[in-house]
Amino acid sequence: MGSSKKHRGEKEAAGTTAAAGTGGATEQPPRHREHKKHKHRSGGSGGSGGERRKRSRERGGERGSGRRGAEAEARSSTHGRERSQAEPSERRVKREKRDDGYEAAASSKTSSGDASSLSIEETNKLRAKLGLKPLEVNAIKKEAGTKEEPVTADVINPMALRQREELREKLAAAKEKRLLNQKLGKIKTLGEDDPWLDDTAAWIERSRQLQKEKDLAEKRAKLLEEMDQEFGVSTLVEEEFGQRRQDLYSARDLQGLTVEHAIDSFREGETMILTLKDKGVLQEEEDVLVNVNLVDKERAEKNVELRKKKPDYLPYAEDESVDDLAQQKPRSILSKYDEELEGERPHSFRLEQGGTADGLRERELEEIRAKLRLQAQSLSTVGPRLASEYLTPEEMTKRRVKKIRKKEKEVVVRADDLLPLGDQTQDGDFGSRLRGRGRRRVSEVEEEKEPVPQPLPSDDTRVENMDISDEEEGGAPPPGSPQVLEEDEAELELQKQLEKGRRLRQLQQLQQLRDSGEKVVEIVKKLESRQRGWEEDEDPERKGAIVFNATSEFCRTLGEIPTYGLAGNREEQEELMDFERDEERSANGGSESDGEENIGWSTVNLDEEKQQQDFSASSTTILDEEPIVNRGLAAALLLCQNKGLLETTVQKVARVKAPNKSLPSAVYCIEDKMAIDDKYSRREEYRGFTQDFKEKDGYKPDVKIEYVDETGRKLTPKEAFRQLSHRFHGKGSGKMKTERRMKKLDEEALLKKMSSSDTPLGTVALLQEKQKAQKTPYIVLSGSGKSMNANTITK
Amino acid sequence: MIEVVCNDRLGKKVRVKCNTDDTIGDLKKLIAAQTGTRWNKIVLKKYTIFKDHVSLGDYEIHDGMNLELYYQ
Repeated sequence: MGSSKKHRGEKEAAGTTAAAGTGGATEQPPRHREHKKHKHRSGGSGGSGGERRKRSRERGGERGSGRRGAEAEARSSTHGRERSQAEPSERRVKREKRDDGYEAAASSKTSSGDASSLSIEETNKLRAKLGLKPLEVNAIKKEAGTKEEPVTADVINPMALRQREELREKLAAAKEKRLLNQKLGKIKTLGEDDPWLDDTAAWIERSRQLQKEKDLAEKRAKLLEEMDQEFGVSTLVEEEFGQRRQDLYSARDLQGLTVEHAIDSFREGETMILTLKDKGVLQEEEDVLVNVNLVDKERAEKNVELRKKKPDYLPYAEDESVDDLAQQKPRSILSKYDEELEGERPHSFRLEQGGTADGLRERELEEIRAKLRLQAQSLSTVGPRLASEYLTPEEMTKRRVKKIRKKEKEVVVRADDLLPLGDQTQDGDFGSRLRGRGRRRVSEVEEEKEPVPQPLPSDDTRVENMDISDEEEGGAPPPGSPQVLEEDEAELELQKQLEKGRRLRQLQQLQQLRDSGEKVVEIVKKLESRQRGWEEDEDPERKGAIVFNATSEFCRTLGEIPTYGLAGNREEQEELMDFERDEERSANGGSESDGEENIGWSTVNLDEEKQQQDFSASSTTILDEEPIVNRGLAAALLLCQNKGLLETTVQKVARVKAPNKSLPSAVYCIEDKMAIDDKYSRREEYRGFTQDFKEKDGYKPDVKIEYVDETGRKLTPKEAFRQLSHRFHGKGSGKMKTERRMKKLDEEALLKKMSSSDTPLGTVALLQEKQKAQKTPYIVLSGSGKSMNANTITK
Repeated sequence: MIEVVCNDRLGKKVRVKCNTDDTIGDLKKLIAAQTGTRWNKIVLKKYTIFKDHVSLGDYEIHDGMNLELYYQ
């Protein structure tokens, strides 16, 4: 239906366009279209073919449904054709949407076929609107191409075409020939010889002609010369010619030119051709002469030198700091780059007058250089030589001259002199080999004896008795024996005095270091102890200063030793009670700690305690005093302890004297680098309890470790081990073994299942059942049971 | 000047007069003027889609050829 409507619409449109085309009423008001369509159609159809008429009639028939169709068509907005039949309002609405050109198109339709088409003028108008150039109207073309009206094409005559081509070619060839002939016509070919070569007459003619020309030329020249002479120009002309001859280049013109070679490279008797060196066109430097061969040779030599690879820089080769001409050679840095940076400066010399160069100056310079070299003095001194071990004759003569030495006077030295000397920490002279051995310095002996100004005898009697060869020794008569004895005593005294002196010195030192009061106390103590007649060699430095001792250090860091004295091999502290010990310690500690400035140090007091004990021991008699029991509990306890009645299990702890103040450890901590984790050390360390639980002392657990297999059966040790081994190695038993094991397990299971009271076949049970069934306590094994029946047993 | 027939097989058949050196784009504009669609919505085909910038001569579109008219 739609299609029919479309068709109808098209036709209508066609009809209207046809009408427009013919009638010329292109723009019709939409309202009237429907009315006029009918008329136009009829008119239009008349104008167009009979086909149209038919269609129009059909359209007329279907007019009634036109509205309907219009409505339907109005719905389809894309269809342009049916707009002509649409309602006016709709049409207007639609028109707004459409292009303007559409109206023209809709109103004007061509007559050709069903398709709508514009005429040429309309098309041109449209094109103009769109901005395209107008149609190329080519009527013939149009006629020729269309499908509907095929036209026979022109017959293409190949013969004619070929002929035309040939003609063209011929013409072109002829033209070329003409041109060539024109060109070549000027040149004489070989064939055309001069006629006068063969023919004598012609030759004669030619020669005559030539002669004539010559004569003419001469005449002309003469004429010209005469004319010149007339004008006085001839002399000038001659001069010109003459000068040109004179200006020829000669040797004298070479003066001042440089030759870029060393003058030595020119040998006598040799000729070398020099040419101008190449230079740029714009360079306006003066010319330089070179010989090409020499240049090449020089370059080759330079290359050879470069290839030798000599060291660029010889730091110690500065022995030639002076030039050949005794002038300072300028020392430049990185002189190997000078050539690169500043450019090559080849040897050159200038030619003198007459173009000669004799190199006289260079030779003179050489001579001067040689002279100066001879005169030069080297600054390097004679190198060191090995000294000879033997005296040279010169030295032998020298030795006779002896020096007279003065005798040293023996100066009497007294103790008073020594005291100021005591400040010296070191006395350099502890005896002199020259003066003999053991010479006394403090000679209080002299004081005791008569002050005899005699040379001090040496202490060593052997020396005295020896024959002294040395002159300086002087005649020291060996003293007599009483003197020796006295000397021994004197020696002792001497020693004492020396000690005193030393002590005084130390006292001075101490005074410098410490407080006076404490020092005094210290000193007093020391002196007292000394006066007691201790033979101990008191190390003067022991009490006074800090003693670093490896053992003391170690002990300090030890701390408490819990097992100290338990072995019973410690003797010192058994006799004393705790409180006594404490007293001692405090007494000692007080003095000790006060006495020692360095708080952190402590000495092991064992010796001190020992001293104390000695002191106490020495002060008491061998037998203890009678213990007075009624004095008090303490005395009684003491008595008991002495008698060994008490169990004194006192913790004998060797407490190393801890300092009052601990180490100031706030500032630092000792880092134990060994605590760095590594998995191996961690593996080895035991992090559990190292001490036993004290509250679980009586705990003795009954340990039973049971192993089970997969079924839950408890395993024997052998089986358990097998299981472990399988687990460990990662593989179990083989086929045979596992089968055996399974068999064993099955047998065990069967064994378990087996009843203990019965045979495996369950015979007893069967018997019992049979008995139950038969209700007899017996079972007849064989035969029929009837014969033994109770009923049958009769007489 | 050639006349090309464009048919969309849905009832729209248009004969457009144009030059051989016109491009397809120009032809589309002419078609649009006659059919009432927008020219950039038109797709012309003859076995291949014709591109807008090529001339009719290059596509060897002669007088009277039928082109397919599609829409995009």
